[in-house]
Parts: sequence; C-alpha cells; structure tokens
Amino acid sequence: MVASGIPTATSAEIRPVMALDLNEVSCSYGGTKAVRSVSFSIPKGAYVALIGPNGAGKTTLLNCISGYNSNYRGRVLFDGHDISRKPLHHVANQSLARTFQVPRIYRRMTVVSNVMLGARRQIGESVLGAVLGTWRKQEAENLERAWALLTRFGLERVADNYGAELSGGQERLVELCRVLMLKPRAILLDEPFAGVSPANRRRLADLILELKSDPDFTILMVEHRLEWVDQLCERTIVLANGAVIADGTLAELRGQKSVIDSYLGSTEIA
Amino acid sequence: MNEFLLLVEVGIIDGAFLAISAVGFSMQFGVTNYVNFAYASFITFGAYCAYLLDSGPLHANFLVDLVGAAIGTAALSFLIGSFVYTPFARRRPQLLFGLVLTFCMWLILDNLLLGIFGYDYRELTYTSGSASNIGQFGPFQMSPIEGVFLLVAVVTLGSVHGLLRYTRLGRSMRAMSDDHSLALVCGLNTKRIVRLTWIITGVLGGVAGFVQANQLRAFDPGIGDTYIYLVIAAVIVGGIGRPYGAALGALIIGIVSELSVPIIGAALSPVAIFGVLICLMLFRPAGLFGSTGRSQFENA
Amino acid sequence: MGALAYYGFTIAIYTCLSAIQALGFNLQFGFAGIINLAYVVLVAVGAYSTAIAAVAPAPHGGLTQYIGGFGWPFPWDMLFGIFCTLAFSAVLGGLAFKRLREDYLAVSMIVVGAGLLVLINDDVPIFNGTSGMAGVPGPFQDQLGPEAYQFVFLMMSAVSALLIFLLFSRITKSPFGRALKAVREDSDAAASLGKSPWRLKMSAFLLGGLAAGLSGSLLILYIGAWNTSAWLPQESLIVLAAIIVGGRGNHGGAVLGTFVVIGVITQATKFIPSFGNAVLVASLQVVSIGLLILAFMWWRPQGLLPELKDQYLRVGIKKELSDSGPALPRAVD
Repeated sequence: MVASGIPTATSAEIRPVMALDLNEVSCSYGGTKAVRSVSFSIPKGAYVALIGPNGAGKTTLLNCISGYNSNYRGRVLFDGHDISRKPLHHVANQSLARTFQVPRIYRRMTVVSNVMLGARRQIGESVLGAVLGTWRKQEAENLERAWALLTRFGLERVADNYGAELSGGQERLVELCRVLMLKPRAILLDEPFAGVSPANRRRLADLILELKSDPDFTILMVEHRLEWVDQLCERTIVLANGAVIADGTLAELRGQKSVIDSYLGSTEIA
Repeated sequence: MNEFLLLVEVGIIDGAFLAISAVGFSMQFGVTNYVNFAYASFITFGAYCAYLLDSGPLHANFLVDLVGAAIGTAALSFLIGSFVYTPFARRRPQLLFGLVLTFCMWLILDNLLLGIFGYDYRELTYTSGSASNIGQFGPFQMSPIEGVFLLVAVVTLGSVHGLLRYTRLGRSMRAMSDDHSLALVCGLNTKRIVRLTWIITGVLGGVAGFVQANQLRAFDPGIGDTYIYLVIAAVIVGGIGRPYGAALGALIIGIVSELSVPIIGAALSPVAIFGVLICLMLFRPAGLFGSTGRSQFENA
Repeated sequence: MGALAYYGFTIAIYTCLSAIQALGFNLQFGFAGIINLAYVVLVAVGAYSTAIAAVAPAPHGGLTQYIGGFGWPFPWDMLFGIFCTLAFSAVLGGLAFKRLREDYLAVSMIVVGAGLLVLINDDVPIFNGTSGMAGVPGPFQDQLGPEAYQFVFLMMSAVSALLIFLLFSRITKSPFGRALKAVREDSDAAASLGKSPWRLKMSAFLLGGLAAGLSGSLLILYIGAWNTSAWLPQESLIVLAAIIVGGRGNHGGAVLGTFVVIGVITQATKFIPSFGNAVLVASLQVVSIGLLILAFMWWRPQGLLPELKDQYLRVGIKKELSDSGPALPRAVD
C-alpha cells in the first residue's frame, strides 16, 4: 500500500490536520536525484519509521523537511503550516525538531548549557533582555525543566561535564534532552540508536516510548535496526533510490517483493 | 559608438591584465585552501624585481625584466608557501588562523618592502614616452608597448589554460580544487602539487606586478595594495577557487570599470565595482561559477 | 605641562580608545566568529561622520572639500558619528550575513576596506582625499585650559572604555552569550534549536560597530584630524594583535592585549636603532606586530587570557546521589 498524496476532503468528511504532509518533494544533488517525488502524510500521534538501503535518500529527505537543505522542489506542511524551503531555525520555531546522524553536541559547553540552549523564546537571548537582566527568573525555570529532563534520562552525574567528555551514547541522550527542551510537537530522529551501547539502547527505547503518553506527539524516525522499528513504530515507509516503494506495517512489508529486492544490493539484512 | 568601443577595448585590456593575478589568486585558493592576502605583496615584489633589473647596474632589457620578475616572485611564493603557510596549516588548520596568517603576512611583506624602498615613486624605463606613438586601428587605439604587454598577458593566460587542460599536473590541480580529500585518496602527490602551485602562481603574480608597474607608469610599494581589491573582486565575481571564473570576472571588472568612467567619473570607479559586488551578493553570492552551500571547513 | 606629560596623556588616551576597539572587535571576532579584518573601516566611519558633523561647511571653491559640515557641538557630533557607524554596520551586515559564508565574508570585508580607501583618496570632494579632515574641535576645548582638557579627555576615554567593558561583559554573560557561542561553534545545530544565526551575528556585529563608532569619534575629537593613513589595513593589525595576544572571547583579554601591544609598540622603538629613516622604523614596528601575532598563533593561540570555558550558569551537584536522591539544582556562579 503506497501512500497517496494529500487526500482531498469530500463535502461530508472533515479531514484532521496531518502532523506532516509531504507533496512531491524532489531534491537533486550535483547530478544525482537523491529524492524523487516523495509524498506521504503522517497523522498526529503517529510514530513512523523511514527505512531503506544506504544511499536511499533518507537523511536527505530529513534535511529537506527540517530546512537544513532548502534546495528542493515540492511542498512540506507541518501541522497545516507551509514550511517548504524555510530555514532551520524557522522550522524549529514551528515546533518541528530534529536530531542529527552524528550528535551535534557542543563540546566546549557543559551538558547543562547544551540542554539549556534548547529552551525557546529566552528573554536573555536578545541584546535588550541581556542588558536589562530580566532573564534570570525565566532562566531558573528553564533550569528546573532541564534538570528534570536530565534526571529522567539518567544524566545527572554528567550535568557539569563538558560535551567533549561524553560517550557516544551519552551524547545521543543529551541531544534528545536538548531537543525535548524545545517542547516540540514532532521530532525527526536520524538513526537514534547508532553509536549507543547495547546497555543504553533499552533505556533510549523506553524513553521514546514514554513520549507516546502525549497523544499529539509525532515521530518520524530514520533507523536501520529493524528490531527497534518493530517495537517503537506502528508504520514504516520504505525509501529506495529516493522514491517511496512501500508504506505499511512491518509485517506487511516483510512479504513484499519490492522491499526485499531493494535490500538485495546492500549489506542490510531485512 | 566609437567611444563606446574604445572604452570596451580598454576594459578588455585592463581585464586581461587583471586576469593574470586573478587566476593566480584563485588557483592558490583552489589547491591550497588559503585565501592568500599576501598575494598583493607578491605583485609588488614582482614590480620591484623588474625595476631592479631594469634600472640597476644590469640595465636589462624587457625580456630579462619579465623573466626576473617571474622567477623572483615564484621563489618568494614558494618560500612563504612551503615554509610558513604549509606548516601553519598542519598545526592550526582552522579557517580563522589561515585568514589571520595571510593577512599578517601581507602587512609584514608590504612593510619590509616599504622599509627597503621607501615611499619614492619608481619607473620602468620603457614606460615613459610610450604615450607618444599610439597606433589607431579603426575605433581602437593601442601603443606598441601596450601591445607587447597584451601579448605577454595572452601568452601567460594561454599557458595557464594549456597547463590546466592538457597536462597531468593541471588535471591534478583541478582535482584538488574540486575535492581535497578525494584527491588524497586517489593517490595524488598533494605535497608536490601544492609546491608547484606556489611556484606557478608566484610566476603569475610576478608577471602581473611587472605589467601593472608599466600600466601605472610610476609606482611605489603600495602598488599591490591598490590593485588587490580589484583582484579579489574579480575572484569573487568568478567564484573563489575557479580560475576560469576569475578570468571572466577580471574581464567583467575591467569592462564595467571603464564603462563607468563617462557616467560617474574615474575617481568613483570603485563605486561601480561595489555595485557589481552588491548585485552578486544579492543574486549569486557564491560567484558566477562558485558553488553555494557549506564551506569546506564545516565539521561533519 | 612638559612634553613628557603630554606624551603620557596621549599614550593613555590612545590606549583607552584602542581598548574600546579591541572590545568591539573581540565581540565580532572572538565571540561571534565574524572574521572582519577590516574593523578599522568602521572606526573610520565613526571618525569621518563625527568630523562632518562638527566642522563648519567647506568654503566654496577652496582647496579643502568635503560633504556635510553641520557645525554641531559636543555631544551631538559624537552621537552622529556613532549613529552613522551603526547604520553602516547594519547595511554591511544585512548584505553579508544572510548570504556569505565565513571565508567569503572575510574577503569581502577586505575588498570593502581597500575599495573605500581608493575611493576616498581619489574622490576628493567626499572627505578631502588624502589630506583628510582637520580642525575638528574637541569637547569643551575652549572652556578648559590645555592641561585640564587633557585630563578631562582622559577621564572621558577611560570611563567610556570601562562602560563598554561592563556592557559587553553583561551581554555575553547571559543566554545571548550562550546562543552566540552556539552559533559560532556550530551554526546549523544552533539553528536547529530555533536560534537565528543571522539575528545573533547581526547583533554582535552592531555592538562591535557601536564600539568602533565611539572609538573613532573620540579619536578624531582628540586628534582633531583624520585622513586615509589612519585607517590603512595595518591599523587593523593592532586590534587584531590585541585579541590574539590577549585572548579571543575574553573581554579582560582584549584589554590586556591592548596594553601589551601598545607597550610593545612604544617600547620597541627604543630598541630599534635609528640608523634608518622614520619610514623604516615605522615599517619595522608593523613587522614586529605581525611577527608577534604569528608567534602567538603558533605557540599560544588561545592568548594570554583564554576564553572562560563556560561563562553561563553551572549547576553545582552534590555527589551523594545514592540515598537522598539527587539534590535540586542551584545555580553556581
């Protein structure tokens, strides 16, 4: 079952606003078409995985949606707002957050500072606010929220450590904390389990599942490890050569020839 | 109409001269990743090498002056590049240090030349009196000495073109310009190519200095400084690291400069150049042939 | 007052004004990562605009030509100078930051600086060409006697430097400073957290412009004259050296670096034997500053006072997490 484009509403039914709507998104990169006419919709509260062999264009697609790459054609709507080709910070301020394939933690700032960066609309971030000093109260409130997040993720002990001192798994968790400080309505996760030790993977999975307690919280996750996709996501979209070739539950996809074929050329084991 | 053609001709000639150093500057950046502000000093050095050979005890002729300027500046470029820039790039690879380094080098070399030669104006012996016999070819004008220099420019630029397209060294240089890490992986002897690049672009700088010394008639150690902003403007127009773009940029700058003279006057020609740069920044910030997107220094 | 005392006042005032420049340049270069090697152009804008606000209009058909000439008294001429510098910085920043990556930006600034030099030198009617502006009256110069004037001006310069130091310190020791550092270290990661790199860089650039305008204005009010030799690229070298030597991203380092560099300049002339002409001595001064910068970049790139690692709130954590659970965070600092 391949996802159709944006469905039109009939006179009788009123379609709920989708969390994420992609319409004919295409992107070329120095000659190669990295993403070809990708269209799909993700309703609110859904946890969707994006899988596919290496080079299928998954990260490129995330880069387009999040605004990291504005060199693409097509439309992207988030919660009904058109975010096509808008810059990264604009998309983030629309409450659509993302993580990166390699966690981009600030190595020369402490974990706490890293997480505090995620807080939005900080009074102290304008020159006027900084000069007047009116930001301290909000900063204290943000600090409590940051601390709560760090504790939930088990990172209290390293709160004062610098980013450079963290292990790969800790970096991943700090990045997630930081992104959650934004209070996003949806997150684009780029290979969240890569580089995380087996011990921490369970904890990370539990934390992601916990976020489901908010029924409107949406996740689009690029991931290779299908056991986690199975546990966390109820729907999987398969991307190969830049195009969507399958869309459904993991069980449905396992039987499809096109999906198996697309993996034959790669070293992935479906 | 005749006036227009004359202005275009002068603009093309200026552009051809400018292209020599613009191509050199661009090639240096493409291969070595250094924005070498000290190139201004290389140009000045070339002018003074020619002057010393010309007016010194040797009283050398045109060809010796030219070759002397080329070799002298090539040596300077090689020394600075191999013994200052390359070690620094290994030890402090960040962009910030590279820019500060070449900026300081520029001022150090400039002031060394100033200390040696002082503020007096010098002249090459064949520039005076050249204004008298200007040949007329239809709407175009050219003096014999100017024609000779134009020939020098064409030969120089043609040689660079031949080097880049038809020799293995040239292809390696282009490969390194496009993608440093890939070039390394492909087994190119990058160290040797870099050293040769310093030498070749030094030759270009020396020739450019020699040509500019004649264009200005009288010059002082500031010759490179007033020129470098045109060189960099040409390079920006073409896209940093694109030698062919730099040559085209030089032609554009030359022509625009000349055409602006009847409109806003010669003294305001920098305004015309700024206009070109502003248009560029608004519509094509990476230059005509440059690539948009992130600088090579972004961390993964 | 003897010549030595005048010399002392001059050096002291010049040091204070250079410190203001260093603080402004540091905000752009050290804190925001904007490689503006033509900072001295912003200083020049402050100086020239103060001049045209302060002097009387140019006499028609005279040898000196310049635009403007409003004849305003202090402090209006200085405020005009600062305003013009801010406007110029805004235009420059607006064009540059949205579109140019760091290396293009650095190169463009140099082109702007060099181009403007050529322009102002050649196009005499703007600011009187190579001769420049002269006869700019200092603040209250008529009412005060010469000694009192020196003293008052020194107080003004020192207080201005202190105010800029306190203002900039306050601004960077805040979420603004944190966000600015984030943009500097990794612009895209910061943007993915909702920070606008353009807005933050522009703010830092304007603040640096403010310092440049203030310093340029006070410079011309003190010296009374200003021409193109005052803002050659090598003048940027002094403020660059102050930062590299003193410490990037550290306000105290900027001030310390200024003292060191000016000390080197004034003391070095004692050791360079006067065998050559004055040109040689001045050139050797510039060469020594350049070499000083290279030496520091090679051996101590962080400068004498390195950037404080984390100037923002730090959470003091009690290590007894076992029984009583983690303590509530208390901001330390």
